[in-house]
Amino acid sequence: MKNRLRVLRAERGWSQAELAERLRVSRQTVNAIETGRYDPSLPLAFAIARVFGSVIETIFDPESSGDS
Amino acid sequence: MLSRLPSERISRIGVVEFVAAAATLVAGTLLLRRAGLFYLERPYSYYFFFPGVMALFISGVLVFRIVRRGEYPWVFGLAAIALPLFQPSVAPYTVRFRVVVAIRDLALIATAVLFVTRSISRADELERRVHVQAVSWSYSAIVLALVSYAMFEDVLPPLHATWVASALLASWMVAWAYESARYQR
Repeated sequence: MKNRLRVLRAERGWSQAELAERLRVSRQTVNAIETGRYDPSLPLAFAIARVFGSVIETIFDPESSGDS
Repeated sequence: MLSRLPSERISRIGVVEFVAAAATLVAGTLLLRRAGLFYLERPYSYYFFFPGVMALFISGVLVFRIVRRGEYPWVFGLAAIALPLFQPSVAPYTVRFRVVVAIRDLALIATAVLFVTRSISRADELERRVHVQAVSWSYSAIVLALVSYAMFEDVLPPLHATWVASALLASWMVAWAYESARYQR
């Protein structure tokens, strides 16, 4: 699934490690989501939306699927 | 103090430290075994004893560093190497030795269980998925190997239970490393 995570993170000037710390996940998980190799669970997707003060639909594009 | 956050799953330093810990574990165990064989001839015994203890100490320090970073699955690999080295059936067949071996093995298994539970409890959702995939691959591979062995067991040498446990741990670690790297690329 494509997403705008990298763009949103860059806008706030956060590193992957900083975002991972806010989400309580590993840096590799943030990297895997950003590159589309992993689709997060619903609770994690909500947590991502909350961190960016947004809604899930504006961050994730359900039309494209890239999870392995 | 250990971080409560999920670990860096697989790192280059982890690979290097695992290889070094495995090498020093094997070297230390073999040197101490040689020291035990020559324990009556004091000078020869010391030549093997102190380097052996030093190698095991270095291995212990490296394992501590791996555990501190939370890269627990490398410990499964070390356990896979340690199990055949400390094979209970090679201990002298006396009650005293077998009790000592049983206590040692129970301590090793308890430590391994502690690492597995800690590894799973600290894992985030992707890491848990990696573990499930790794266990699936290793379980399937070992079942396949055992069934293949069973077809020829009347002509093949006997299979030690320790080797099966060792193969399970080793294949889990290899599958974990592969699956982790797949998500990190």
